[in-house]
Amino acid sequence: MPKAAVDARITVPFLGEDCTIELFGEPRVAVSHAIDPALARSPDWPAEVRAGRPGMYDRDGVSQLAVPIVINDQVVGAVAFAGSRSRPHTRADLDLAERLAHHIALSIENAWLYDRARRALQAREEFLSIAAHELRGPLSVLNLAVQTLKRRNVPEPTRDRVVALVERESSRLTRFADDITEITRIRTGSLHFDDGEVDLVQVVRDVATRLAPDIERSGSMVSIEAAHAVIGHWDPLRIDQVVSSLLANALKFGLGRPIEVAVAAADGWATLVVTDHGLGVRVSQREAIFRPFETRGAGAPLRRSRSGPVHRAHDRHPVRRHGARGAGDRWWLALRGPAPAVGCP
Amino acid sequence: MVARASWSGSRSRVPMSNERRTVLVVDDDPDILEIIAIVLDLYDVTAVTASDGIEALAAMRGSGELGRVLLDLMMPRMSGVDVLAAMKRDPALATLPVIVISGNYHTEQAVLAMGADEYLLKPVDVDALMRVVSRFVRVVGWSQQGE
Repeated sequence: MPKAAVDARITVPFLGEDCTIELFGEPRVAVSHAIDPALARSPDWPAEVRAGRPGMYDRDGVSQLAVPIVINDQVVGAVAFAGSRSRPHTRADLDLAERLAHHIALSIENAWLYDRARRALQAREEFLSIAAHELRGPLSVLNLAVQTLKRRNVPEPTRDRVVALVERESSRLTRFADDITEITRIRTGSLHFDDGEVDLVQVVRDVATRLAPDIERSGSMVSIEAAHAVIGHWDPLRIDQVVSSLLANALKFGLGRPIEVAVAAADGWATLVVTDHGLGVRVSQREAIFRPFETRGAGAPLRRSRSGPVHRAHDRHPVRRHGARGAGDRWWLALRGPAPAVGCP
Repeated sequence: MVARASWSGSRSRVPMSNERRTVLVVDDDPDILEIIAIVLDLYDVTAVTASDGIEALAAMRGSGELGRVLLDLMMPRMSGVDVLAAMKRDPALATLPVIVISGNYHTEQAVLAMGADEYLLKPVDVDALMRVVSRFVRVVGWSQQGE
């Protein structure tokens, strides 16, 4: 609080022999200035000041002034002046101290707003950088594919493979555009949920069918374990998105090893557990992995996955509603729907 | 998984080892691996693919036929930067030409300083790809001026 330090200095000895400005909370942030630092004492903030009311009081025969620093109706700190025995504080001193506290509050609030704006700009730059990077892969494929198709002497089987690549990359770019839109909705709080009756087991089977080409290419064997249907009241689109994301990431980082998907219901909860035996998530990354654009991957730490970055934002936010956590190579999703309760026919 | 590209149609005989017309393509994106292998095959260059750095190093150490390595940077398990560093530490791999193909323009100077021979920024096109490949591998049907 460099400006606050200046404020503390210029008010001494006008408003008192020492001045302390403190922001409440952890860690404690305070600046002070005293005519005689050896005699300076940390103020004992009276309850009335913490409650937002200024006060004049006496401590050891010396008058004290204490006024709260208020930002958006919240008491975030206080300013205290210790007077002298020869000159007790007056009502005019209290009024001046309150005006000073108001200016200090404005300074602090401006600093907070600036910091928030700076971080928002930084996040936007980061997002644009990642988005551009993610686009370059599909664009490379499309570029090379189109140039290949323009050749006259490309064998028919090769041409068919290239056309299939173009279709795949087009779908990938469409999904990416959809994900970008979803992220915007998540961040502006305008993500809409359209709940209905959903069989979680059927969703898992549908996703596995849709991802069959990716499963085949990965080399992983995907098994689905479910004793019965698990039916609840959720948003089918969001559930599909989360299941797709979890399975896609297991395929990407599963190193071709088996993937188990288990769906169960108990005690009013539905649980989905996706287990792979590939690259694990480092303990230090287990919370970071849920932040937008974070991913696992030893060689590409926290910034890239073919399908991961944007889908991780999905994992975080709709799943925030339903609840999910990761545990190394095992990702689980717990859902609790309102009435009707989770159950099975 | 290390895989050899095999396409029906005009696949030519694998060249003799002293011709070094095999290129190792390393990328964790299977579609990029596939399209680059297709393009190389059209110019009679054999592509061997690897989807991460560990597979790539295994392929390099297991083959005496590689004429060039096309290397992505951001991959799981072992990044392209780590692969490049490992290659430069290994006398058997240190002189193997490396073309880095990346979507991140910030890393160009750093990887060239580490010993990469060329740097291509994605998205790449056929001419740019074949220009750098042809510096160390004989290609059929492509010239500096294009087709």
